[in-house]
Amino acid sequence: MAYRFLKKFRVVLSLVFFLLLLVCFVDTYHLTGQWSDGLLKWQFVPALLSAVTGSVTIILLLVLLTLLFGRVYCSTLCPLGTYQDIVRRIANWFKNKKKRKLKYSKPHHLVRYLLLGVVAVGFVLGSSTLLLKLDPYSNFGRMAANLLRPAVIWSGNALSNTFSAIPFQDYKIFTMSACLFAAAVFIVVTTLSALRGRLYCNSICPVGSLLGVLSKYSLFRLALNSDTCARCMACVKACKGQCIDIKKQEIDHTRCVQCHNCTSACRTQQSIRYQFAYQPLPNPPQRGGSKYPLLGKGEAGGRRLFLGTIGGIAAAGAVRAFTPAWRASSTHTKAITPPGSRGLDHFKRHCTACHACVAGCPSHVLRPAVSEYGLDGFMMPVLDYNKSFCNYACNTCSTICPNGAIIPLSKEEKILTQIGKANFILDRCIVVREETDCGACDEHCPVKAIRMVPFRDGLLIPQLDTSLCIGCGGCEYICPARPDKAIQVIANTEHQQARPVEEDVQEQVEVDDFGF
Amino acid sequence: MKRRNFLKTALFGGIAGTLTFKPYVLSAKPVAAAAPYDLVAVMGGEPAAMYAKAIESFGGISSFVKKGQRVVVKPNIGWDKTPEYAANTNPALVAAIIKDCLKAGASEVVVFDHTCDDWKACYKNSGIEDAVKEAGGKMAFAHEEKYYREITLPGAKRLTSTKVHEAILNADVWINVPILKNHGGAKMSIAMKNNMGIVWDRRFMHANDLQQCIADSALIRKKPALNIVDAYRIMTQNGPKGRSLSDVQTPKALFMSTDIVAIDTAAVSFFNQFKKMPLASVGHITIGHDMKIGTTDIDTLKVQRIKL
Repeated sequence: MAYRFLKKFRVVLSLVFFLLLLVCFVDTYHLTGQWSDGLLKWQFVPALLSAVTGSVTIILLLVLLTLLFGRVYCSTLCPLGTYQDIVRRIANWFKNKKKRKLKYSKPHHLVRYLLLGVVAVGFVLGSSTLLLKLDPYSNFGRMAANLLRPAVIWSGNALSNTFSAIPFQDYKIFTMSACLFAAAVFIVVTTLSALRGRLYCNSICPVGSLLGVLSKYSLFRLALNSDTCARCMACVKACKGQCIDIKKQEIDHTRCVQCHNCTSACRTQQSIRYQFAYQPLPNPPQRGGSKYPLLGKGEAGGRRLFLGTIGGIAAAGAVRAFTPAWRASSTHTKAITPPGSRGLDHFKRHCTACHACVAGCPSHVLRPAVSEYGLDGFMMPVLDYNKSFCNYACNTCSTICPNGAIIPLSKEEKILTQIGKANFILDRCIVVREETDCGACDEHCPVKAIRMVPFRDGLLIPQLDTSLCIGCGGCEYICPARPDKAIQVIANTEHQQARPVEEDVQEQVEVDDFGF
Repeated sequence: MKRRNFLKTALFGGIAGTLTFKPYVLSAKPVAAAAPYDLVAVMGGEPAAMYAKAIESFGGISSFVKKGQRVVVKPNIGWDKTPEYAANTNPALVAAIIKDCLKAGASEVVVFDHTCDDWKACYKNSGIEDAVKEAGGKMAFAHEEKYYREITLPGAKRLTSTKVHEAILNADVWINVPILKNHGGAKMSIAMKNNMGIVWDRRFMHANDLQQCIADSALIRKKPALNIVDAYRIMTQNGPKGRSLSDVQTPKALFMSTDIVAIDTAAVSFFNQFKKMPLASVGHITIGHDMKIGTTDIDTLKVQRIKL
């Protein structure tokens, strides 16, 4: 009975996580106030990436969990995993009984470890570009943010005609290329899971592969008891990982996602159970074979492996930290990175384009990049001042980012973080061209880096002090000059500190008259 | 004031013949015949008290708002700033007006502004959203083009047609409630400038002779029945957004008029006691006079000055 409870527990927990994570991406009306965003930090790749800038606790816990019980992460915490389970469940409604059954399949070790290797090498060398495209969490985020979110907004807009309490929302940040990428991933993942359970997780997903490797050494593993096993195949038919080889009475732990479909399906109710992997056999074989029943030939003990794994990750992190980023020092200065991201280099190293910040940005100034960061930064969030600008005292994106790509800023820090500098082009300005008042840029500047000074014929013209400018883009956004705006923000490759605003102290005047 | 008194005043006012003296002023006001004053200035009280005093001089809000009418109160909510920064209209004043309109039998009172900063932050941090809800009014969305409808502005020179918020177009009566501020582009932001918040495409106005466009916007067929300038706190420098509390003075004043040019003129004169701002430099006000939208010649008006 305890094992039945395990499956139910897993299902409930995974659905709760899934829904809470979904809310982070589709709460277009900001009803929840982002309270569930903290859960994003429990995703594997974000935890790994933020270990450098934030805390190592979560990644250690996730590794520890895997070394204890295997890929619990894949069936409980990973939203893309849960999504696939939901797809499979729904797909099964449309299948006859026979077609619902899965069978054991051979592993695609070459594909998965090759992909894992390429991603890992890139990662160690300081490039997140492959990880960005393959990370399951980020792919989930992009699907939610670029496919589901617009759908939510458009249905909300349809309803807003009838219900005046629903605000109409222009989906300003729709980016076709990111949407197409998300749609492609959506189609692949949906198809694979509908037909083959967790094939995606067990052949493509680099996190699945990495945790699979770790699971080979986990302390507690599911094992078949060949004495009681009736070979009825109930477990095999239910196994999403297609990893139970009933003939050999073996479970491929690199592919087992700890879904517990097998333990609850087992007709004997006892033939698949957790076993302590390092329990020596009472009568170890004299020659050949391991003295541990579940270990292959030459497998080492757990403590060494745990330390080895942690050491390996730490070493990789160290190499990464001291390797110049793949192409950070590029000339792609057009891309303005979010406040808190420190600059192009840090941002490109740590961002996996999950679009949590894009979805959470209240002013919709963040949108997925097309080529602003270069090819390797495709889909990474970039500030676009054509349709909006960055709210002065808003630090939302920095509080959302689970990767540590945007490091949390207090509001006091945010208002001094210079992500770029405005550049004023005099001969494009309305005041010069039309000889009429304008001052739209001055109006929007929150720090008065722009001041209106006497020009000619009583007209005022903007004067810029870039040391005060924080690059929020208010001026660029509102500038009415066309075809080219007269004021544009140029990105800071490395973010700078702006000069704090000085108060223009004036005497408080007491008046006793109306003046007319 | 009771309706009977109002009618008496109206009758008396009519006999007194104000109609014949300032025809172009009256063209801008729907129920102007009733008013014994063209402009009322109050000083030295809290926003609600000053409002109560001023509206009394106009025969009460029922001179403007009739039973069952849909009313719009249009404050300045342009910026993500709290009330003490004087970037937005005082929420206490907005609340007092709404309560009065509802008391006079208004079927609904709607409040909105096409904000410059993020609209949700503006509505919330200005304190206006809360004040409106508490007073029994409704906040309307104004952040998307969908909420605006194209109108023509008869007699306009540059802004001949534009999209205006549907709440104004659907309302029976609207009341313009700006705050008195210095402005980097328009020089001053008072009642006429507050019209930019009912318009969708402000960039067009900036690019096509801002001062003329502001004046043109006052030619809207459905003019505000009343303009109430909040000068409880005023922004004397770094406007219209301001950056610190040192940009603010607190003269505790309020102006009320049916003449949008006259009230702006009076407010600029008041402002000059704090910061120099020649009326001639505030283009949209002088254009407003020249286009006969109202008058800058406030000496010819019946002005009441009240000190609390």
